[in-house]
Amino acid sequence: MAFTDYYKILEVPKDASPEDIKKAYRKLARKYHPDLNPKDKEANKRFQFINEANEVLSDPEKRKKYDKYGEDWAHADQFEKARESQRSTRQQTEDPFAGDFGSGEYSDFFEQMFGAGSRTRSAKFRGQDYQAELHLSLRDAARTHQQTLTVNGKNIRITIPAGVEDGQVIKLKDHGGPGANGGPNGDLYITFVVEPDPVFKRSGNDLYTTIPLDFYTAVLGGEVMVETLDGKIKLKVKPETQNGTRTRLKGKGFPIYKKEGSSGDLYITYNILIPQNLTHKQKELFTELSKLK
Amino acid sequence: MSDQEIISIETYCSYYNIEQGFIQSLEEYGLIIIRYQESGAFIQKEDVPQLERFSRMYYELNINVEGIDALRNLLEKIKNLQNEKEALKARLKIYE
Repeated sequence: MAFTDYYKILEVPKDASPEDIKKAYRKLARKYHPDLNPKDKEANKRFQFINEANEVLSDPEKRKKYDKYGEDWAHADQFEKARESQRSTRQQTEDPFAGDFGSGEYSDFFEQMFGAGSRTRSAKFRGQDYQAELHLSLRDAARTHQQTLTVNGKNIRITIPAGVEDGQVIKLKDHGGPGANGGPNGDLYITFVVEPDPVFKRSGNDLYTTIPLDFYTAVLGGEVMVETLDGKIKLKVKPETQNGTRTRLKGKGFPIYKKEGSSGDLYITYNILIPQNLTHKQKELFTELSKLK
Repeated sequence: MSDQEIISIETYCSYYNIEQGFIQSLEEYGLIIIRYQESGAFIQKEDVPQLERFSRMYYELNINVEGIDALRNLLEKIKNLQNEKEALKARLKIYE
């Protein structure tokens, strides 16, 4: 476990006054606060450290302990024991909203020195919102099904409706962190990550796929088997089909979210395969054909 | 609207330990909607997360109500741009 330099995090010198620390915290908080940096995991992480640094350096008792034992944190527990008998009530945190993000998420260093969640608060606050990611294959995202998630040791069974999009977020109310001082629980936000599929590309509710088409069927017309999400279907190919021709299969695309029975379209692009390793006879016939132009 | 969907401002402020004047300022700037009934002033429960966000900006980050209004507009733009970026990325995948 590495030493965490809280002065460096708040960008203040070691002899900074409480007022300087407060100013530095507010300045950095305005830059990295999760409310101002939505979906920015890096900023959220940085804010947690800033919050943690502020919690230590703005509390004279904690700051004293940190200054004395900071780099030698492993011996901090001895200090703690000696202080235990003298300790009265902890100083209350000045900022009632400071703990709303990242509370309960302290660095190992902080927990070792100060214990987890040591702050006290008078106001009631909603618990922390949790974020979770759920990875789905494209084909799983195309069907309504149930999955069990484990979030902070609790199993939560959810129904995933067909048609969820990559990056879509759903909220499970009250499944977040517990509230403080009797406040309500936070919410759980689940972001779906739909993995790319080797056959189909998705854009909105439409699917795109490219299929190989042999040269003779492209020239003379015929039939070809095409894979859809519901299985294979036979498709007629018009004579003289050009390479890159796109065909639309209505209603064979991706299911539309929460509109049961409705689906987007499937677009099929033909990739015409030119014959290779021609026999002598084939070459002769192609030459003959070319003369007929 | 049922009583379960609204919460009185008085209750909210006492629960979160904030001033009612702050909520009224937010209303003046059109940042939240207050519903007035005979029994008092109310906000919709679904607006609570938004109100909590504004409260954090005001109390924790020392941003005044004008600043919150400007930030809200900018954050809305960022959200739209992020959605647009995701949609474009999805379309690009078709050609990969």
